Amino acid sequence: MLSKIHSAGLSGLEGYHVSVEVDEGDGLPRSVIVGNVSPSVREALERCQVALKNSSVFLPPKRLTINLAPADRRKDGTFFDLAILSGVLKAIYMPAGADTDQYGFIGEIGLDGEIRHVNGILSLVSALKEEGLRGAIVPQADVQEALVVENMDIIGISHVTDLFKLLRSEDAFNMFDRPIPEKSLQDEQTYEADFSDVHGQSFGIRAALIAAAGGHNLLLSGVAGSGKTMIAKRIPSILPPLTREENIEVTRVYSASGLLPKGQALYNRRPFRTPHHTITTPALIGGSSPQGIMPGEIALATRGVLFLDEIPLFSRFAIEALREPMEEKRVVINRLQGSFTYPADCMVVAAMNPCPCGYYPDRNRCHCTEAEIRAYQKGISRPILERIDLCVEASPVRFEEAVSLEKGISSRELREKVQDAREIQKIRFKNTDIMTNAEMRIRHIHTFCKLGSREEEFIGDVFRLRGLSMRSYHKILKVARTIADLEHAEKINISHLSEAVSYRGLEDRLFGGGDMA
Amino acid sequence: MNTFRGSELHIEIGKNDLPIRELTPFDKEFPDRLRYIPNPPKVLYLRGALPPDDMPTVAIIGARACTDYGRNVARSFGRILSKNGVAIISGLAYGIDSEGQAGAVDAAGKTYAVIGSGVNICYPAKNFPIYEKLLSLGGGVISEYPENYPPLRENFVQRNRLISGLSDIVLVIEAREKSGTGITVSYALDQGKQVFALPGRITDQLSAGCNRLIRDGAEILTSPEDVLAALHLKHAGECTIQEKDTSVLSPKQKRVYEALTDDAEHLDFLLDKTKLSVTELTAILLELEILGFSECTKTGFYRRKAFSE
Repeated sequence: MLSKIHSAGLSGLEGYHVSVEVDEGDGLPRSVIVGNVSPSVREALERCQVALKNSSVFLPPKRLTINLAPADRRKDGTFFDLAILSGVLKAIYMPAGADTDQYGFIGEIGLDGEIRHVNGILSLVSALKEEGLRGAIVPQADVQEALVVENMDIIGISHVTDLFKLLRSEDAFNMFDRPIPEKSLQDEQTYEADFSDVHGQSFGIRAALIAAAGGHNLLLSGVAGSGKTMIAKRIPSILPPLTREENIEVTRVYSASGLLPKGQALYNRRPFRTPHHTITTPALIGGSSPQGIMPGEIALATRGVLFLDEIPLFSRFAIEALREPMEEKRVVINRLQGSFTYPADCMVVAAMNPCPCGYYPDRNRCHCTEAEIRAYQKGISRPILERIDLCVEASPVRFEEAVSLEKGISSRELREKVQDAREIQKIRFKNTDIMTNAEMRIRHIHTFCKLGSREEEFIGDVFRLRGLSMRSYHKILKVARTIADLEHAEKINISHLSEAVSYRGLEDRLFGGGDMA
Repeated sequence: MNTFRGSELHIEIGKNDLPIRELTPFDKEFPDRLRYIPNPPKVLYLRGALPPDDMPTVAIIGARACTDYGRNVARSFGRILSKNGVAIISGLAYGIDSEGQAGAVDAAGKTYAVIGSGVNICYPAKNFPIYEKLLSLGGGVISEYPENYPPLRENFVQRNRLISGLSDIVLVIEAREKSGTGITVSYALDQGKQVFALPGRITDQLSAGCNRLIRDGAEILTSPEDVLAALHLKHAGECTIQEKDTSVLSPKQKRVYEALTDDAEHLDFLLDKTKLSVTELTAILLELEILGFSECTKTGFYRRKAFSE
């Protein structure tokens, strides 16, 4: 008898519908799986057979042909175990049993019959929903995540015996307990690190605030131990809370790469990723792995912060590969298996020492020659520097500051300011394709960053004084726009501009402007 | 050309450029100052001019990795001495050397660079603007090494004896306990030249060398007048390192200016000192910068500017 079961596979972040067809017939006993499957899918049959044996279900000697359709698409992963087992059971024992047409089956099976967690449940269940199915059978461990997909009838099972019960009769589906979404689904997003722990560094915190408010990328420079990492780590806590759509987007990436905390429905927090500087290019932007195509750090940082500590030490190729993703806000991985798109909409925060020894400009401690310092700073690729709007120097922390019990400004206060500024930007860019000040291109700058004549004259003076490049000029305008937004000012004034000027740095020193002694 | 390193600039000499001349002690123009030093150069290569034998000369030397304060002093001394008709001799290296010469260039005075490579190579390349300007102002670039000779490490020690040899007085602005500057000073003493050292705090490593020189009997350098007096020159015009006229500043600008020091300080410290907000402070600092009272040495670090050009 022939049976058909719905299931879903994962390709990159996208789930796709797979129909598992099982045919049972007479002849010499043998089982085959066809349909362009990888070894991990082929092994499913072994797992199913042993699991059945260990659950005291007798499998008669039959000729089984299992097809995973669409047969032209490469299928990988362990999502199909449950569907294959259900198909086999249905084909052999329950030709007239439960009506499984409206449900998809997803899950991995252990030899003892346990139904195990699989990655990417959110994307898989969404694919089933798109296919028009009413519900899905998923491993108990993944129920909360599956429930994020609205209007799907989710049933969680933890052992193959549950599956037998489920398939036994037509109304077994209705009898089964339905899980309740946990409150954590809409839970408030909390962060362990808070800006109130940072002592001193008013300038660094201010820069972080501006960067967060306008979605600007940030470069922190400063002596070792001055708190660059501390500041960067706290930036996710001052970004506006994730909207549900953003939360789902982040969760899909984390779920597909198996990084979602166990039993958690949504990721519920802005990611903060700190890859080590020895990272390879594929690990940073995504690429092939033994598990198939995996998202890279930039995708894992989407809607959050990608922190590149010691940026001059990163491999040139890895850093250069960030250029398009930073611009496009998504990353496309092209391989023979196909092309995979991952989101990459993150804030890049980079950190570096001012020189190889880390103490410049304190010449009592720093013996680095000017050539060494320059060589070190030139380690940062220019195109990446061009994508960074704010540069800030973290000051060395003084002892009194470090031990002071006085609390600094809290993340909550800062977040409120950021949210206000983002609201203003939302209204401003209502009719455009951009969301934040950082994304403004030249034509937007001309429209939204108009200067009065006094301001124009002032910035002209600064331009000549500092020998700025045109690019720096545009960045100053963008940052000044954000500073003005933070103050709810409609027009950019001189104080906004002059603060923005003070966040210019490395790029001008290394590549632009006058450099005479 | 195969031994060239990172920051060198190789200058092609065109038709209209100053040619490279070659001098030996048999030439009349060969500087008398160099005839009588121990181990005199057998040949000198030259672009531009040599310091005339009757012109007073002062060498300004010191550490390459120096403080902002050191830069400031070197440049002021270079400028003031040069205004008073003194030629500045130095090695066109990073730090104190080039600052002293930049000061002379600021004052449109004469300065002579004694370098450790062929005279058509500017090392470090960063100092090329000074290299060009000093030539156009009638100064000169002098070397013992032929055209295209690369700036090798061992050349520099040798070239130091020419720096001290060409000068009547050697000013040491900043030096560590052990340094190349120490070598120049010992040459100067062998050649019987007077050495002035800029005193500093005993805790500053970059003053350790100078303080030791003073302990060993060097003159204490406190003002350009000291040097001019030693050269039996009368000084004219601006001389002391002046305080700026702060009466043009608004009270707030004045407050910020007073919080600034000669060494660059981070904005966070200035915020503490002035009790202003970030927005106010950055605005005032930029106003001061436009007025020529302050400068930003690197992102987030500001200091007083000693003089305007």
